[in-house]
Parts: sequence; structure tokens; C-alpha cells
Amino acid sequence: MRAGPLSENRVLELLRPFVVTSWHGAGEPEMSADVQAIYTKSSLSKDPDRSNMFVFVLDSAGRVIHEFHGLSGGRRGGKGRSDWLVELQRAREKLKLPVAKAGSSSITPLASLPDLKCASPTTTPPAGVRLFIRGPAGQGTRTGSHMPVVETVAMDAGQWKALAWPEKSKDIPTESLRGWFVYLYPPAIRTVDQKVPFRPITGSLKLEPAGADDRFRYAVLRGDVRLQKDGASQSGYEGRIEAMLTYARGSPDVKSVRGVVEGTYLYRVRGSEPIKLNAAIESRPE
Amino acid sequence: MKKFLPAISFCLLAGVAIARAASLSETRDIEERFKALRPAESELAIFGLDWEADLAAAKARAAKERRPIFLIVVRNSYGNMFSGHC
Repeated sequence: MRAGPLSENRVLELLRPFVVTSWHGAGEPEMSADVQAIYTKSSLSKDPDRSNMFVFVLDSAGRVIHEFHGLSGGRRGGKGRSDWLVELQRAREKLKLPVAKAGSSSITPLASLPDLKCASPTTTPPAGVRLFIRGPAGQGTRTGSHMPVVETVAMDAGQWKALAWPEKSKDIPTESLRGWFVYLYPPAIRTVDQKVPFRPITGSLKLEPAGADDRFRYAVLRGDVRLQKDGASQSGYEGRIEAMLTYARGSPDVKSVRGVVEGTYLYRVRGSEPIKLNAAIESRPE
Repeated sequence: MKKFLPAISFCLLAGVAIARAASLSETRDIEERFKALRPAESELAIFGLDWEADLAAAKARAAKERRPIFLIVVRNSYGNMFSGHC
């Protein structure tokens, strides 16, 4: 869905007046009471052709005014499928929303991009890092979508201290950066795989001084990382990180991080499928 | 062997010099690769929508701002439609 209708500009344009939310889980028993009430009353839940994705449009008082199957069928439609553009227009008509004009929007672009904030704008080190995770363009696998996943990782002072300015090359325990690496799995994998956490992370990371210029001192963090779920027969990730860290002159505190992780997720559910998976890492706020 | 010592010394020193120079250039290389990998704004358009974490929060906002709600229900997977790990 995220790589389908929710990546179409016309759909996004029609959704701009809405407060958007979602619920994920394994069936009705796990639904929160408010979602369950909407779902069980819905005719969609009784449709024998239903898939597992549903859309409900509510008015500002919380009343359901429209619903449709979430599986996109485009203009061809089909049982248990919907044309999102048609359904959204219907919903907007019921809500008496004005006809959407292309390009008209009062919402700031990327206003909801996941982010972190420091208690004070002058505080160092940063509040944490943001990761953009995705497969390479054209990978063409079911789970290797090029649509970016965005995750944030808050970090405390102790975690940043491990990356303090290195006077000389030093080893960094991979486990100390666990928060950076545990999101290195692709979207759309089976729940049975997603719910299994990675065991302790192995590999070797080095932080090396890399010179200075007029503004900053620089260091490079690099090395190999290996993540493995329970048992060698389960999924895992192997990759290499290279990141550039900056430090203010005269301070050991990290000022910023920008880096990349490039590697492969070996997806082991009903067979074995290697999925290229990369991440861009940036400290926030910058 | 003695006649090769100056040449060997020169190569070692040059190697050190190149390694030092490469360090700063490596940071630029990493920066370029980071920029290439980081999605463009157009690829992050889904974050132009106004997301709330759950239906209760969405209802509260909707009532306050007199706006409609768009609720997506996925009943066969854990994860997070917002972050993309779904």
C-alpha cells in the first residue's frame, strides 16, 4: 500500500485535508477497541472477497462516512479491490470537501518526516540519528522496495561519548551502536520474521581521525557489521558502514554524523532470498 | 640492498602522505555517497501527509481542528505504515 497508492501524487493530494493514521496487527482480537468497533460493524469485514487491508473515512466527530477495500485495483477494480482515486473522491463528496485542485495545499511539505529534537538548539551532541533504509532502485523483489523506510534513534550522552574525538584509531564495540543497526531489515517481510529480534551484533568498527579544516575536525567510522536472528537458519544482515563524524575544534563531542550502510539482508522464510538493503544515516538535528 | 633504501624510504613516506591526504578526501567521498543514498524530497512525499500515531490521537486532532480522518487497517502484519516498516 505504501509503495502503491500512498506513493501516488494524486492520492496524496486528495488526502491532504485528512488526519491520517493506521493500525497493524494479527487480526481482530489484537485490535484496539476503537478500531475493532469500526471494523466489526463494517460490511467490508464480512465480504468473502476481502483481503487484509481496509480503509475507513471518518468525519471530524469520528463517524464512519465511507469505507473501501485497501487493496488497490486501479481502474480495473476487481473483487476485494478498490480504485483509491474514485473512492477518495466519493469520500470527499460525502464530507462536502471542495474539489481538489492539483498543486493546492496548505500543508508544509514533509511536515511529518520523523525527526528528533534537542532540549536546546545549542546542545551538543545531537539528539540522535535518522535512518533512511531501502533497497537499490530496480531491485525488483517483493520485499526490496525502493520506497524509503524512515526511522529515528534517540541517543543519550553516554552513547555519543563512545564516538568522542579519537586522538588515534580506536575500536568501537558494534553493540554500542545497536540502535543504528536493528532497523536494517526490509519492509513487507512476514510477521514471523519481523517479530524475531536480532541477537548481539558482531563485526568490527574503527573510528579514525581524518584531519581538520577551518571549521571542524573529522573522523571516519567504518567496519563490517553482522546481525543474526536466532539460529543460523534464520534471517540476518551483513553490511559495511562508513560514516563521517565532525567535531568542533577544541571539543571531543560529536557535532554531526553522515554515513552509509550497504549490505544484504538474507531473508529466510520459505526459502532463502538475498535482498540488497542500504541505509543513509544522519544525525538530528543538524 | 643499500642502494634501494632511499627509494624504499621515499615510497613509505609518500604512502603516509597519501594516506593522510586520503582521509579528508574519504570524508568527502562518504558525504557524496550519503547524498546519493538519502531520498530526495519527492521520494518522501508520504511524509507530507498529516500522520497521527493511532486512532485515538487522530480523533482528538480531528475534533479540535474539525478535520476528517483517514484510517488504514492492516490485519495481517505488524509494523508501521508511517515509518515504512510494514
